[in-house]
Formats: sequence, C-alpha cells, structure tokens
Amino acid sequence: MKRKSVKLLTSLLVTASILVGMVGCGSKTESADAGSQSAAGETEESSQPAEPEEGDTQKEADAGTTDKIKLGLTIYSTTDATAGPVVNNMQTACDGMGAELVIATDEQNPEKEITNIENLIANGCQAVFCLPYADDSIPRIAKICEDSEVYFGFYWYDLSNEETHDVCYASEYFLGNIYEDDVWSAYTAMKTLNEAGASHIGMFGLPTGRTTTTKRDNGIAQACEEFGMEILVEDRVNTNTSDDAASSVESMVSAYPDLDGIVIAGMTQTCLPGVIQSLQNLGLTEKVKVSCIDFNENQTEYFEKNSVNGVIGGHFTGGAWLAVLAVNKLQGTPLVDEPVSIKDEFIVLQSADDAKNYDAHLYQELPYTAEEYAQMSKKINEAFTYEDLLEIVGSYSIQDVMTRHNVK
Amino acid sequence: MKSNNKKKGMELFINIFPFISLIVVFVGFALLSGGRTLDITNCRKIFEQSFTLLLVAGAAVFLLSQNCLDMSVGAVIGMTGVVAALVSKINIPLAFAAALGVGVLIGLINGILHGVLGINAMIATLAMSFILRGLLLIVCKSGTVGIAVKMYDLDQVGLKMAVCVVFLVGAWLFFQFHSYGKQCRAVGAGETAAVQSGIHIAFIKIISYVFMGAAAGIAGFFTVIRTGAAMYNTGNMAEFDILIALILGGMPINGGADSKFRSAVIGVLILGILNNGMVLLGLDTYPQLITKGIIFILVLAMTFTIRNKINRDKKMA
Repeated sequence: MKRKSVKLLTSLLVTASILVGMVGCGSKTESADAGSQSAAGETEESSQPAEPEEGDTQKEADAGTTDKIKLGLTIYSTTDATAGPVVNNMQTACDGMGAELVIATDEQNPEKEITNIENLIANGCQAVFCLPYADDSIPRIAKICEDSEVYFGFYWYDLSNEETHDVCYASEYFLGNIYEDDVWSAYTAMKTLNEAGASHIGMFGLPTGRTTTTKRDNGIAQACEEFGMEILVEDRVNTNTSDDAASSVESMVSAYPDLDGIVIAGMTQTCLPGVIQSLQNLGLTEKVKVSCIDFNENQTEYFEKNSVNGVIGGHFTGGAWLAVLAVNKLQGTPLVDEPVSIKDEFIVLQSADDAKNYDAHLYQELPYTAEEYAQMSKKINEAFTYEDLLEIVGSYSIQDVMTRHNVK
Repeated sequence: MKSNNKKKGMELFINIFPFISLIVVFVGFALLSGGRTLDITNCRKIFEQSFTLLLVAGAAVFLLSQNCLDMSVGAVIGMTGVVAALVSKINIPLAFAAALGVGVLIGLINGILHGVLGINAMIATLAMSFILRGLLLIVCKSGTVGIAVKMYDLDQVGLKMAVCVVFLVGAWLFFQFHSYGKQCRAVGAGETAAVQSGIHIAFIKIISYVFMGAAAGIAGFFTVIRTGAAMYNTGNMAEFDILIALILGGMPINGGADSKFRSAVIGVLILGILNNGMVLLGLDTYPQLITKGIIFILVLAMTFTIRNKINRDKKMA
C-alpha cells in the first residue's frame, strides 16, 4: 500500500515538474517556437511574424536586426585532417562576419544527420549545412528545413541528380551547394599513379549510392581508358579502419601479384595509414605506388618517405562559402537571389615541399583570415558581390594564399 | 528494525531514482536552454528521434528481464529497413509486412539458437549481427537503397504516436499482467526455479526473440520512412542505445523480478532529452560524449551499488 502511494506520488511529481517547467518557461517557449518557425531568429523582436505577402525580403530584413546570426553544421568529425579544416574555415568565416556556429557530428549516417539537422534547428540555427549521405535523404532534409523556414545548403555535394536537384531548387530556403570536380580529382589521382609507372591498380572507394562515388568512379574509368590502366580489384567495405585497410592490401597483393598501384578514392583518413603500413611490412613501398583523394595528417612524412605519389584534396572552404551566402542572405543583403552551385577547387600535392607549404599556410594558418571573411559580408563591405566571391573561390591555391598573406 | 527501514529506504531510492533522473534531465535542460527544450516543435522532434528506440527498448524489456541480450537489433533494423525500401517500390503495405516478416523470421532464428540449441544469447545474436551486416553490404552494394516517394507520406507524428501508444501499452499489459510477462521475470530470477515451476523456458525465449524481431522490423520500416533511404549502416549501434536506455531507466542488468517495463520509456526519454538538450546548449561533440559517459557511469554506480547491497542483505536474511 505504502509502495503504491510512493509510486503515485512519484508519478504526480514527474507530471507536476513537467507542467511547471512548461508553464514557467511558457513565454520563452512561444518565442522559441516562433524562432524555429521563422528564419528570423530567437529574440522576441525578431520573432514578430512577418506579413505573408512581404515574404522572404521581410524575413531577411528582420534577420538583419537580430543579435547574432546562428548557423548550424552537421559533419562526420570536427578534428580529422579532412573535416577539421572545414570546421575551422567555417568557424573563422562566422567569427569574421559576426555569426555563431553550432556543430553536431553525424557518424556518416543519414539517420543521425537528420536528427542533427532537427536539433540544430531547435537550437535556433537560421541556416543549416550538411553533406547528404544518400541522395534519397535530400527530400527529407529539404522538407524539415522548409517546415521550419530555415535555410539550408550542402557542402562537398554535387547536385547532378536531376530529382534531388529539382527538389532543392524548388525550395525557397535552399541556398546552394558547394561541390568539387570529383571526376577530375579521381582522374588526377590515377594520372599521378600513371606518371609514377603504375598500371595495375587496386582501389579503395566510397560506398556506392552517392553522386560523389559515381563521379569518382567515372574519373577512374576515364583515366584507365586514357592511360591504359586497369582496376584489378576494388574494396568499398574495408575502409573504416586502418586495420581493415591493411588486411585488405595484404589480400590484394596476394591475389594480384602484378598489382603496382593503389588509389584511395575516399576514406583516406582511415585507409591511407593502413595501406602504407601494410606495403611497408610487405616490403612493397617501392613497387606499389599510392595516390589518394583527401588530405591526411601525415602526408608530409609520407612524401618524404616516398610512400605516396600524389594527394588530391584541400577542398575545405565549402562550408565557409555557404556561411558567406547564408550570413548575407539572413542579414538582408543577399549576394544572389537564386540558389547557387559553386565549384570548390582542389589542391594537388606531389612532393614533400607541396605538403609542407600546404601544412604551413593552409592548415596551421587558414587560407582566409577572419578579416578577409569579414570583407565578404555586405553589411561590412557594401561593394562585395557574388562575382567577387566566385573570383575568390576560383583562385584558391597554395600560391594564391602565399601571395595574399605575403609569404615568400 | 533500523536495518529494515534502511533496506526499505534503499529499495525506495532504486525505484524512484529513474524518475528523479528524468526530472533532473528534463527540468535541468529546460532551465539551461531557456525553455527551448519545451518548445512544442522540439518536443515533437524528441519524440520522433526516440520513436524507433522506444519500440525496440519496449521489446527488449522482455529479453533483458530474462537476463538475455540481443546484439543483432541494429542489424535487424538495417535489414528490415532495406527490405522495406526495396519492397516499397512494389507496394507500401507489402513493404511493412515484409519488414515485419523478416524481423519475425530473424527473431525466430535467434530464439531457436538460444532457446533450443542453448547457444549463449550474446554470442548467437552477435553472430547473427555479422551475418546480417554482411548481407546488407551485398544487398546495398555498399551504398544506399531509396524508398518509394509515396512512402514519405507516412512520416506523420500522429501515426507514430498511435503505433507507439498501441505498442507500448500492449507490451506493458503483457509484461505486467499476463502470465507470459511474469514467466519472463521468473526466468530472469532463476532458470532452475522457473523450470521446476513448469515454465517452458525455450518457448518463452523464442517468443521474446520473435517479439524483439517484430519490434525491430517495425523500427526498420519507420527508420527508412524518416531518412528516405536505407544504408548498410542503418541501425548501427542500436543495441547499445537500447542497453543504455534501459539501464538509465532503472532496469536491473541481470533481469529478474525487479524488472520494470517503465524502464524502457523513462530510459529512452532521458536519452532523447540528453541528446537533444546537449545540442540545444551548443555543446561540442566531445563534451557531449564525455557528459553522456559520466551520467551513465554515475547512474550505473549508484543503482548497482545499492542493488547489490539489497541483494546481499536478502541473501544474508
């Protein structure tokens, strides 16, 4: 009897606490609700409902009056040599333009990515950015953002799939996508192998079902045809850990004794150390050439030891460009009225010197300073245009950064 | 007399601790986030994010109460999700039936492996998990399988709420009041005693795994509706989320008579609010992991120490 009373009391306590919490924070809830319903932000001032006919322009103008613009990013990691610079560049861009960045990591899983987007929106982010892990999840992402009236954009993502392209471009909240020429990157990775004398190639690749994968596969096929190279074996599964990649290399070498090159067309962070270690253990570092897409922490050392022949990467500014587009849009000074598709440039490393320069001027120091990003906000620099942004994006290279930052 | 009161006090603490945790997490995040966690849209999102975990955790109560684990839940969610996505292009109700059917079939195999052949539950289901993940890689060709566009229409909170209420209330009634639920707890309390009481242990275990498979099938179906696609890693680590949620909800890890169905609901809610609240507070990923780990260890340390003490006292008495 006594136990039942305690249970009843506890249940009542829980219910009461929930009710008290909801009532107590009621006024904030309203504003938060409005904030999530409107891209204008969180403050009561900014959450004043805009007249429907005033539409987008009103929302943008309202946003211009808010405190800090809040942007959300969902990404698979914040620290590795590929994702880390994206975060750092975006953070610097936000710092420069006076915006706040909220980051959530997603384990490269569409389910977690969608959960992150929902949580970032609930946090009050007025624009969210992601790399869709499946084309099929894009309609869901677009719907979540439209329902919440939050802008969205994609980094590292080529919207060449017609269906998803149409879904995104039909949304008034789609800012655009930053993509790389993945056919070119894979082609170039293969070309460096060919130049090093390799023609019988083992390949590590991204999972199929992504546009990026298809494009990189096309680039590899193009190089094979042009240079008379052959993909003897491919592995898209054992790419998540160095151990798996190392075992896979042993199997490849054992099954194909004439294998003389390995191309890593994705998952370089986890694959490359295993591949290099395995080749070293097998005494095949000289015979089997290696090239990869995406930079990694130890590439300078790998070049010095002749363990790699080419690394294509450095495409880390996409998030920052999206931030530039979003901040300008949200502060009521859009750079462009329509969604845009911007091609980010790759950097090709072929020597230890290239790797050292990259490390010093684009990784340790970022390619653009907060002050440079600040000049990309029309609120600070009225003369800045979309064409200026395209020019900056197009000229991205190690040399460009060294020149701008007066490095001799 | 004094020790009796102390024992009762400890039992009371164990009983109300999950509720206190829920209140602390709920009120704490509400205050820290300035009420943003209470926003109706956010509450709806927490429910949607926790929905599939609620289903599988509800079913896992039957297994854990018998001191059984199912390490294949995540892979079953992935497999049933892929099946649902593939079949959805033919017919959507058929996709649901197929996901449910595949879940039940895998559950049946798990049940036979453990209940009839006597293979350790963890080993049997872990092996099943490897098989399923391997099959997923083959079926998905290491990529994704998209759902039929019409299937997006099913992503409605109302539908999920209805499924959730029917499922959880039904499961609770069975666990609490039906002889099957009582037998599950009896098996967890001691298999020998359960056998001597006339309980057909193999049958109870098979039914529980089948139920777990069915729940994972429904979860797989709704997971792909939410994401729009199934991937080879869909449902990854779900088994650990279930375990964490149940323990946070106060479930004894060894099962038995103290097992409570409410552990599933409370635990999933705590986990959902924690995950959502930390992003709302703008916590970076690594502090989030550390916070979750600390909370988990604290809960474990407190409940286990007290539960062990109670069990020791019971044995001595």
